[in-house]
Amino acid sequence: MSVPVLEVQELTVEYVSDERAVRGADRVSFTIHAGEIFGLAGESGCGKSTIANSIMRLLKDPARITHGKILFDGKDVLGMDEAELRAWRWNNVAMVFQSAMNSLNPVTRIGEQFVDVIRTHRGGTRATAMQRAEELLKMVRIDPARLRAYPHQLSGGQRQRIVIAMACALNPRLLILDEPTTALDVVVQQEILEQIRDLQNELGFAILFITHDMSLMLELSNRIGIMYGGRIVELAPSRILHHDSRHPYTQALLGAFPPLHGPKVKLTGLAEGVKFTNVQDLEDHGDGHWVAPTDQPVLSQGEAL
Amino acid sequence: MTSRTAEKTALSPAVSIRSLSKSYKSSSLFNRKTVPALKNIDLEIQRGEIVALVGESGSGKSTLARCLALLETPDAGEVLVNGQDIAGLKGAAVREYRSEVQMVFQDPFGSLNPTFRVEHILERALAIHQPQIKSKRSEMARLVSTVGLSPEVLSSFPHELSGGQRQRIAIARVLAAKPSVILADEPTSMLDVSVRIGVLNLLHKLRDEHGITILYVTHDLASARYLSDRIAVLNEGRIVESGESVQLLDNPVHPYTQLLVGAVPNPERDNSLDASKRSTLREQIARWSTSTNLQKHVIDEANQHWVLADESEMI
Repeated sequence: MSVPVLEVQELTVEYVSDERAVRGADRVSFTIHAGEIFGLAGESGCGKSTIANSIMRLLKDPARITHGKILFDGKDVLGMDEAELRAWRWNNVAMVFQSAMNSLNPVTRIGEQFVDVIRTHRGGTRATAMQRAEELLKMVRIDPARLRAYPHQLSGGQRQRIVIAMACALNPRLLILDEPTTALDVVVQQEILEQIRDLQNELGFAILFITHDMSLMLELSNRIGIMYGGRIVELAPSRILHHDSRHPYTQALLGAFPPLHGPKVKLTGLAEGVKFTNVQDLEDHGDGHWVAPTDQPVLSQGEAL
Repeated sequence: MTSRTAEKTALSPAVSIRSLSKSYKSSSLFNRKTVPALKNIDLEIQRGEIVALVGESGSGKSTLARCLALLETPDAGEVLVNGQDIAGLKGAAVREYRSEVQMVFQDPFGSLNPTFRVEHILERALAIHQPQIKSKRSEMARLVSTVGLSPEVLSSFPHELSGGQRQRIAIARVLAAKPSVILADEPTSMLDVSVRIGVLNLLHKLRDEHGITILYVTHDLASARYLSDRIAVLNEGRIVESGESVQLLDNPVHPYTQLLVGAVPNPERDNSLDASKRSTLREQIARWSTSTNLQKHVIDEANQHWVLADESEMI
């Protein structure tokens, strides 16, 4: 077994106010190995972005990490001071945020923004930074001449590809993608995912992939964790999760995406108002398949529509 | 209404759109141009049929729904709803039409007034569209149960409800008008994933149990296939291909439909489109759309499957 790039152990994040504390993430544990694509899926508010922001140490008040550990290459991320964090971020782990295409500076040429990132973290001359920027743009199949363009001169899909290329600029060991294609049309989405795969083949980084779209997640990820109410309710390799999911919430999520082929069957999704409370710790079901025990009935699906 | 027109309306399709065109004027100071949004659209929807209008952003699908909802005025062409031409409707006729054709919007957070309880929202709709109903209370209870909610939600404010519940209330309000046609513009895209399918099932039930005709506007091919009887694919303001949902998506003929179908994430598939196949399709789409002699070619009569193409492409 290869050494994990990232180990998250029993991570608990609370959003604290005067009256009460809400758990954004509750005893979440998972590991990501070198070159692996690990997916975190769940609905809005389930805590998947909270996890991503905790790993990057980007949480702000009132959020607090109250318990747990985050290890990157065995090094304790939660113990790093500001200087160490600055050296670690982007060099070792980079993040692409939801609608990141709007995070480019509108009054600066694309090339300058690349140079800025590369020289801030690695130093070197402007010319070498520019050369690296050209390589990266070629990798995401955008004409390097576009380095002279301003962000508004590019389409949404192109901007998103540039942000992803920028995240890869320093050869990070881990790339965190938080809903990288949510605002884009399906054809553009497909192109971007393909380029993420190409970049990964070339540069060999691991990916933490966050989305609510199960069909996308199953297509891209090697292993998947399903989150609900701050907890992981099921964790498995994607093939197993796809064909043999055990937790009713996972099944509801899978059932929310009708297939594009085969006979039409009625799907049921999750009934309004169904809630899982007090989610228990995961139990081992073999082959890397972990499921939180629940007494909710397993959903029946498959009657003709 | 005379018996003759009654007969005519009974036989006519729910919606009949003929040669509809609409363009928008972009008026920046130096650069005035018209942008065509819909080009020569023909579409018929039978009573009790669910038709999905699919396409990417900017393809014109919302514009078409908005023309039907009288929110936009078409430049040319005619729209008949239940046999009646909707151009030039005035006053009471417009109100009547709005009872007949109702719209469900994408955003259930923005479409319900946050300062009123659900009961007020539904009561207003009933007072406007069905003033003859005496026992509003029991009618409201019936409406919320039709959309799968319990009567307790009547005393809630919209912010106390989840997105799925709010969208169901928006649908209950639509039903308060007793419409024969519902225009649903991306009704599930802002909802949490696990409740989306429930809203689609609800729309399906409204058709099955109340015979309501539905135009479902979406960019999501899989949900279009799930809900609708027929799909019309819109590209750059034209319906480029149309047919029975399952048959159409299994045998897409137009390169644009092929591109869309190939881009849907599908863990079962191993031959997904690669960059070179995509660029070939893009070239074909460009060639097909610039043809000056576009005609409908029937692919499969029984499934009403046709494609808009130049003669030379069909050999």
